[in-house]
Amino acid sequence: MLLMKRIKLLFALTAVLAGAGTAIATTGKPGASAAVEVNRNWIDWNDDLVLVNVPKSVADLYCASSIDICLRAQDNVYIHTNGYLP
Amino acid sequence: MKARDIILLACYFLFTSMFLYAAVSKLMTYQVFVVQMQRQPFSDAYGKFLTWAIPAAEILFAIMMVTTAFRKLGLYLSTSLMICFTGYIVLVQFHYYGKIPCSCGGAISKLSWTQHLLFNLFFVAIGFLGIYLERRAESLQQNVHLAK
Repeated sequence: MLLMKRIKLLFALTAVLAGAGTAIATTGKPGASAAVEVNRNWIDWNDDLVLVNVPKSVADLYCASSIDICLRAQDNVYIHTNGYLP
Repeated sequence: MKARDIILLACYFLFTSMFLYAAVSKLMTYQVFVVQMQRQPFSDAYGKFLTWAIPAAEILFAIMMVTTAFRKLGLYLSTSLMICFTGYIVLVQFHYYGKIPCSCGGAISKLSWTQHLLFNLFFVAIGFLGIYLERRAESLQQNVHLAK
């Protein structure tokens, strides 16, 4: 009975570490090619401000699930998020 | 340790880690999450409520599943939440709202709506399996008590 409780506790702690740890390790981190990322403001194709002071990796997350939305940097027309243009 | 206990542990493990992953990655890119929620077909007030209520619920249910006293209730609530998310995705799939960006966290945000539906259905199935095994264990324990 005590062993079962210990196993349950161990599984629970591992689940917490796996979930939160993976999120912290992977979310919004720059890719290997971009060691230093610059924070920018991101606008849509109507020039409306969408994201403020975030790196490209975070802006990429915003565009990833939809082909309808793609952002570009406010200060540089050559920098835009990956994906399809609307 | 029986096979039933191992499967049940796996159900709790998957649900806890998935909910914590989703909540933490939403909170880490909170600005993106808020903008995505604003694009969902909800009223402004309801959208604002959901921007903190969804991560809070995910964290709360994950913590409940870690504790001994509330793990079963946590499993019921988590499965209910997954059914709600799945119902919403089904409505999106049937173009009830038109095209809407997903408000998911981390790697889940890279899934298409169909992939997301399959992902959710997998977790709904895990939830039902966990509930079934919990109930079965409960009834077996009651039978043992009655036999004594």
